[in-house]
Amino acid sequence: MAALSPTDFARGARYFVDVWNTFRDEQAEWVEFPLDVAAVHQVSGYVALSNIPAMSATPSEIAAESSMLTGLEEPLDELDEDTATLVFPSTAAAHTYDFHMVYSPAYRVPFLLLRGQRLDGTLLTEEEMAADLPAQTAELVNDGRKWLFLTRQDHPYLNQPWSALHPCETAQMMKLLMGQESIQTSGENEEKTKSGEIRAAKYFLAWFSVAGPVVGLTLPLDAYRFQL
Amino acid sequence: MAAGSGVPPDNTLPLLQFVPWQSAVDVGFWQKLAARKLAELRLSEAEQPLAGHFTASTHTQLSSPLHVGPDAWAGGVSEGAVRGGRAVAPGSCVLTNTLDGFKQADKKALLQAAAAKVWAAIVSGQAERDSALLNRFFLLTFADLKKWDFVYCVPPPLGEAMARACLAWKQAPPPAPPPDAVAGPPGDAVSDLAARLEASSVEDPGDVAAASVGGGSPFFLLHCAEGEQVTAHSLEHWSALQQQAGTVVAVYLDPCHLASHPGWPLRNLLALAVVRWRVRTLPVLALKETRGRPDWDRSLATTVHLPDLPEWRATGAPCPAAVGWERSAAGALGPRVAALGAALDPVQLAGAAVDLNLQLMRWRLLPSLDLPRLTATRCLLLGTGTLGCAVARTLLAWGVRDITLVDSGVVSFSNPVRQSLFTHADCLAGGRPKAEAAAAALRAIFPGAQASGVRLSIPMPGHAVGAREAPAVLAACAQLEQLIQTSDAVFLLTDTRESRWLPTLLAAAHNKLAINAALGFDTFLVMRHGAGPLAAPPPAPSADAPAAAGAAAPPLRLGCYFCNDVVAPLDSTAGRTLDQQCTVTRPGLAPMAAALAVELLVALRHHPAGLHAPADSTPPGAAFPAGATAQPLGLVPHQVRGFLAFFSQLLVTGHAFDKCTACSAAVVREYHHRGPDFLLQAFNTPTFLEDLTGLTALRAATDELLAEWEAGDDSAADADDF
Repeated sequence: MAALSPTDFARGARYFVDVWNTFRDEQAEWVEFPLDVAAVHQVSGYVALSNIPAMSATPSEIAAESSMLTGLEEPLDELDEDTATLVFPSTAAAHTYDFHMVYSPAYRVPFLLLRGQRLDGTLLTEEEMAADLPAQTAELVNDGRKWLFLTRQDHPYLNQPWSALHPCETAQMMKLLMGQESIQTSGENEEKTKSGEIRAAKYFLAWFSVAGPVVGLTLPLDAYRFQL
Repeated sequence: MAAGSGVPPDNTLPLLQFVPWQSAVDVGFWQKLAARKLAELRLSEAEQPLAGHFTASTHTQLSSPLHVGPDAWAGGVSEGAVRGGRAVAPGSCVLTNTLDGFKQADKKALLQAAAAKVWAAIVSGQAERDSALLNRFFLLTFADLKKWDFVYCVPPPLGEAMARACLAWKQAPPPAPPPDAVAGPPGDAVSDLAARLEASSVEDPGDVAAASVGGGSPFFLLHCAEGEQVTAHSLEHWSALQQQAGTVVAVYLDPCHLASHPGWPLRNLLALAVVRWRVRTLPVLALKETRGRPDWDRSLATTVHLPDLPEWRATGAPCPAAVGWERSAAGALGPRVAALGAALDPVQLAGAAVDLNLQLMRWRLLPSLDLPRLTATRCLLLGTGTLGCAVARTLLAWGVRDITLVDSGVVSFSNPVRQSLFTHADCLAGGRPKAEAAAAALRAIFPGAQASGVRLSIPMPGHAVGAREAPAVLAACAQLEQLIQTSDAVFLLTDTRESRWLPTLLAAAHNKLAINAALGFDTFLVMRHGAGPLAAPPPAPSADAPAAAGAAAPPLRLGCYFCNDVVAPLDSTAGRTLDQQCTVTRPGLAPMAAALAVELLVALRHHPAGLHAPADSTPPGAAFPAGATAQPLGLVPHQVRGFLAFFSQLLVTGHAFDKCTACSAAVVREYHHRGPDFLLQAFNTPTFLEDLTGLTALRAATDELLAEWEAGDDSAADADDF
């Protein structure tokens, strides 16, 4: 099987963070959160890309507020007499995304978690998120590409509701991508060697080259030229 | 003291306006709040300490919000909260117990109280030692834990204290929007600050600032000495730095992305400058960041001109009036709502998970699976015994929500081992009514189930009804009819033959789908009844020659459970021993039959002709015929007969019998015509149905034939066996 060990996930992720932060000349930065291989449950930590404004051009309309709020607006209006407050179009409804790359011990593959929020912290619904995703993703999903569907899933470390690119078909996909290389299982000794590290890095980049674009994250071609 | 000369007359400078700070209250925060409310706070409305965090503006299009996350409750900073450029903002929260409490809370007073804390920190000098206190925030919220709705107001970090003073604040002409216009007017003390910082050879200004930022200090001082040396200092060193040559610039992490206006935190820093430093001008640098490092290009430098406010500097001066309640997403002043039911409510999560499981089937194996149609099917289960329990559970597994269970009995001690919805506790104290207990069990298994139990005894032909019982029996008939009318599928799962007669008739009369499961000792029958006899036939498949003679006749109507009988149902329990009355069957039989009954429903719901779907069958021993059916789930048979002794099943098709005592046109017409009178006659007079349908005449004709035959041929014939 084209699986990845937790150790290799950590190594691959670290390499990926370097590559991303080198090749993507923009504000977004992947940050490592405790990539501690020795931790319990073979927890490998995760890498995070946070507060990325939505890829969609226009943020969706602000949802109608609940009727619970009826009668609550007036008393506060009285308080607003401050001319030193700049009133400008609110960006509260703008969509932002957090992306985390996590190791799945069950499938022994990396998987991509994402969470869409409005700027005020409220969660986006799945429909709103689907509207933000690249148009070609929706086509692919409708086309029955099995590994491309998003599911609600709890974040394994944060225990919060996130969405995930379901990892169940990832190993199959990686087998295709990695070809012969996927078959060499790196033993304990080999994991420490250079070739093990190169395999982990290649694996991670190859995986990202498929998983990333689904949610609108891409690396320039140069990033895939291997220099380890 | 900073140069006071060259201050333009007050009225020539535009009023400085601050960009309100957006708060982002994380779903994880609400999760923790719900848990704490239940476990610790309960009814307490006491103020709880919180800690938010934020970064300087990282995007050119969006301001950085004040995050209130799951770690906010730690009362400080937990792992990972302060990383890179994140700074902490202390705060507090009041959680009202009721929505009315939230509505009636004196928001002005609460805001003023929050502002007073900031004011006290400024006046006492505490805020200079711990500058995070200037960004103090306050959150007023109400949590509806049943609906997982949260209503909240956040006045984010102050600004409150400076409300009135702001009117008098002046700013040097604001820097022009282009990103390179970070400098104030020519001659301004900080005009070349960015250049000096970049050129500083002695110490990397990036590191200096980053060190302060990384240390969680949202405000600090940069001292630009003679030459190019720039050093970072805490706010409390203001006076000391004034004694040295050079310029002191007040720096703050600015969450605002605009190049034209400063962000909210500056307001309280200016208040501090007026009260503690007593300055009339203050060089200010609004620090923005990129990838966790100060972004000098986007940072905004200017000199702010301050009013003289002696009343603020007086000892014991009261806190100025506060502003700062946050606007809602719609831009109006008012509270915001976080509706997190879909994300956090366990009941909704279970529903979504059940659907997801079925969706996976659709995505992977059965793209044509019509889940909405299936799960919307309203199912009526007549009989809540071994079959009823198993059918109900299998329906739940298919995502069916709306299940009504009917039974007249109570749970007895022998039931739970075979009837999967009951436990021993249901048998105690005389036993719970089975229908009600089964419905409760379904809801306990899956809270999304809309399961209800109806205790009802189904009237049966052959069980005579006295005049005194008649009203109650007819009421039961009416109730059953109403239940069938409001269902999409009726499962006949009772333990006697005659109890299936009335539901069969009612389903035929209202053209409802009926699925029947019946058990022998080691044999079972699972079948679907055909459409009602008076129902419009399904539309012809080809519309080109509807009237053409010799066109394919419409498929024959499928039969019901009673179509093979030449006698009307009778009381089958009278005169029987206990083992004959109880359904004695092999225990594995009922789950098999129940599972097939549900799968038959699922297959049929996917057939475009629905109730009129013709019966599929395979010749015994044949392999599954390729292309035999276009239906997504395979064959849609009429009857499945199972023989457990042979571990085999047989598909059988039987067409409707025009003299059937339950589903023939004569019976249904009579029922429509005479209603209750007809039913009572059927219950009380066993031969009535046979007379009505012509079975009596048929038998007489047959007897006559046999008699003739016997007369012509001496060989004996068994006349009473068909």
